[in-house]
Amino acid sequence: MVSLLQEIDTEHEDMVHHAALDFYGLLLATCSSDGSVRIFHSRKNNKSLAELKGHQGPVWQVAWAHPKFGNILASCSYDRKVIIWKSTTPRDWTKLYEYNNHDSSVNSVDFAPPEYGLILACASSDGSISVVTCNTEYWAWDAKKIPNAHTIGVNAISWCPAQTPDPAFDQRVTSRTTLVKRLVSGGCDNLIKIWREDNDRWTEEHRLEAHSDWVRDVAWAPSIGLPRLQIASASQDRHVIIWSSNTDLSQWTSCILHTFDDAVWSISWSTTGNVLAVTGGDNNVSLWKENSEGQWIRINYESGTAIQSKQSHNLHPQQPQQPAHLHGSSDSDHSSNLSNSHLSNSQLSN
Amino acid sequence: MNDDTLPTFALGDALATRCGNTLTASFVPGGSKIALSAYRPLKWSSRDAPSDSAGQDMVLIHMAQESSLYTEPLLRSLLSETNATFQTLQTMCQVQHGTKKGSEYIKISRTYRSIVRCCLEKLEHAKKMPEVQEDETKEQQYADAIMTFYAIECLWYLFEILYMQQHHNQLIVPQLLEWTRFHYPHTEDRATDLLLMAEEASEVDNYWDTLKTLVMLGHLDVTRAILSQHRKANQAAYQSAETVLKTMPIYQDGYALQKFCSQWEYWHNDLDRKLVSQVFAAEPELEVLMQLLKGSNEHWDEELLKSQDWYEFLPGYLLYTRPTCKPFELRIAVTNWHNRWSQLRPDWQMTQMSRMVRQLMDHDVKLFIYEAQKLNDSHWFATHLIDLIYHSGQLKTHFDQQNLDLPALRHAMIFEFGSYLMTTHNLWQLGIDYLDHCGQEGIAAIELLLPRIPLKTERQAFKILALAKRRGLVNVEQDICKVLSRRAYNDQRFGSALEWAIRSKDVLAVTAIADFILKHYSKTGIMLCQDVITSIGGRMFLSPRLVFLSKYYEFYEFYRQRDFLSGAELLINLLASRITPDYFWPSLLIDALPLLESEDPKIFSKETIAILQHLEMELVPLIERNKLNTAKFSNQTSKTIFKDYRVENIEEILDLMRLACARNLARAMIIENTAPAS
Repeated sequence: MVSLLQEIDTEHEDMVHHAALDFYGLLLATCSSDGSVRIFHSRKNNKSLAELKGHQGPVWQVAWAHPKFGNILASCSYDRKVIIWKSTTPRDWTKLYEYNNHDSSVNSVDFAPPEYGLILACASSDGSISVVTCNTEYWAWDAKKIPNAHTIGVNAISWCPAQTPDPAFDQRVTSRTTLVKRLVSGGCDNLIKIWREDNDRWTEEHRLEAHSDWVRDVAWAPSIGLPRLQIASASQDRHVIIWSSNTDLSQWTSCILHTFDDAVWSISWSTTGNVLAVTGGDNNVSLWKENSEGQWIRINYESGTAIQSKQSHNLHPQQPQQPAHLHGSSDSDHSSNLSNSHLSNSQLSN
Repeated sequence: MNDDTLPTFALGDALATRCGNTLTASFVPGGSKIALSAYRPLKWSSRDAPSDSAGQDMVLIHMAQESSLYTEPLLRSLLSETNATFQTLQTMCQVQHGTKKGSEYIKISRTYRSIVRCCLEKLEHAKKMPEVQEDETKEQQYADAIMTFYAIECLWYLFEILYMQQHHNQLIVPQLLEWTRFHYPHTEDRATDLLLMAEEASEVDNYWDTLKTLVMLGHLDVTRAILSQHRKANQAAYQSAETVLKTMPIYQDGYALQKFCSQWEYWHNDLDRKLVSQVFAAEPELEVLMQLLKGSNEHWDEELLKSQDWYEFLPGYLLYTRPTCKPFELRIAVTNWHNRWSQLRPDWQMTQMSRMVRQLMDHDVKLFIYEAQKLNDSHWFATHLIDLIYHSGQLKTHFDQQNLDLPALRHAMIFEFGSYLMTTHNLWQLGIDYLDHCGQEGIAAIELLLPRIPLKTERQAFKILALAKRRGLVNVEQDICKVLSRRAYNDQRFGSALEWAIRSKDVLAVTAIADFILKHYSKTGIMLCQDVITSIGGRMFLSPRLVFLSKYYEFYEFYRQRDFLSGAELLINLLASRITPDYFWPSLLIDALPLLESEDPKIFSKETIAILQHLEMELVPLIERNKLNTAKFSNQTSKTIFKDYRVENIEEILDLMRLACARNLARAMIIENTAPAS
């Protein structure tokens, strides 16, 4: 069973395109077609703490930096700009840096793992990717561009988690070893590309082909100590694909999570990467996890009857039309928690 | 998987409905919450104009979370107590390898159960409190928790009887009887009432019903006691019944099974004979009791119609028909019994609980575990039970046959349960203990989740740091220190910022804060956070700037205590050290001025020459460079090195310094050269 904790009225005048919570999940940043970014306390239903104005068009995405760099937020917009904001208190925000070296809308921003420093990757409709690095000693900014990353445009970008060498294999290697930076991007050429930094230059390491339409979102899963990494990609072709690598990331295999009823727009990994939330044009938010057999299953809150409590989940009874759904919770009896049965049905039938 | 079976949860956001029922969701970092909002695929290809829905509906973000029972403090204490037992079990298994006695695992199993029972009692008590009675949702919460944990205790007990005990030759009927009696206590309560009423009891309406239920639950002693108080207890029928009840053989440990069987056969035949010869015919109700004792199907069927669940009277029936039933024979008995039950009660729906009881008795542990994960206890039961099964190793062959990888299942369950607790507000400290037992993955999860615990107070920060330290998570430790340092700096608590920066071993951060303190001093003459600087000690070697700060502070202290000689010595050392930051040269030299101007020379001639040398070699070129810079970017408000009053008067200060050096040199030389030769 899923319960709704609260609703936050964003006070935006138009559609919210993205909402991101800071590292601790305490502050919420939202961005909207009305060109503004707003900041809220996520655990209270307060009015917005701040409204950040600086863009002249719809703001597509926001991203928070690691708190060790301070309270830093990046936003990207249709107006081709990326703005990096800084605050001393949640109410008090100033523009720290503005990056405007893209020739078209900037669709996605993502901060690098903090181990690398304060680095931001931006994906634009002009087909290029920018990697903006800040020298936090002098707060000086420097940008590198990957031109023609995807023809027609780059829709989404995500960083590879910083990998510490596995101590089980490599006793002497400490985390001081230079970490290899990697990025994954998805674009309008239906491709997913993995980029890696070699001697200050970004080169294409892999090109993952499996989607037959625009790739809308890519997300690198958090690393949880397993000798592999995973990337989820969502596409207009109604597929979500999970890409899994081998230990040294030299090979990638794909597995179609599910074919949805409509285009899939966004995906989100939970903090430990054990649950994937998928949203798309089919009205649903569905939650998925990989069971111990490596199969992807939709989290199923099957009802049990040890408890006979009936609870209505019609939170808005006045709702006239077919409401949007969050898949994965029960409207009868009760259900189990966010993680599903570890035994799949197929296991039971052996 | 069949999509039709998937339950859904309606959100009903007005805006989402208006723009075609679309939502987007993202996970809240470090938590199990999901933030949901209305969404429309609007990208660069669309025209930049307000959307049709602009300004019509509230734009909402919904925060959803899987519901959990553990918001209630009583259940939180259940979690922490079971966490301790879980730990005990893990250490017990780490300490002594090899085969362990089953009894130890039973002890652990009983501990878990007694924690649940204790918690149930507290919940029942709490539910009756007046403030809870008034609050409907709260009451419902308690009711839910009681039902869930009641079911868990009942199932765990049954599992313990059937699978945890070493009873190859043991009979399980007595234990099953105990189990049903414990979970159907109402009959016993009524029996107590009857006993207290003594003779009057026989007039009570439910007298015979209670007796029948007692017999069916196998409470023979109580039945006998109640019957002996009956008004007609002296009559022949009652006397015979008394004998029948008294002589029924009950199996005791160490008894020869053969002997018991023949005794029991004899008793059974005897009862049968008595029934046939109409010994109890005068008392029809008593006769029914005796028929039940005999295991007469016809009479049992009639009584079964009144029972609450299929398994309620099964152990009782076994007592009168197959008292020597062994665990492996149970399955057949259960199948027969269940068929009979379903014929009698065709409309009856199996609840999850009764289904799970059946699975246990059918030895279908795999299915049982599958079902156990559907309880709304956030996998508390499944996780702890599987862990116990894994350690005790008793069902190993069973799982091997079933092709089920028990270690992997256990690992996954503990990992999930630990992650769940760790991402739940206020429960994270319990979660970490579970993740500790998940090897590499567990450590990785801790590394991801621990730094995301909001650092509300310093005390909590210290706790998290200690946990990270114990696990060797150096990165987590340092990141937390960096965050705290940054936060303190933003709040202008510079001492705290410096302290945390030093702990984080972040050279850049330490240098930046030390710079700030030194610049602040050279501008205002106020030395910030002196207490922290005093206590830096050996840690100063982290950054050259910090060394300079500490040393300069030492000088500052000497100066304040008017220990000019030591001060002068330190100052000379500092001047010679080459760690003086550019911006601090003027300050440092000006600090030398009073010492040089002292009537009673504090600085020797050699040192004076050194100061003069630094003045000419370091400061003058610096000023020249600076002039050049300001000339080059005259329009720029660049941060020049002397951004204070000294900028304007720098030439004057230089002259003063040169003069002071010359004077001191003169004085010092006179004294040095006239000093009596030693």
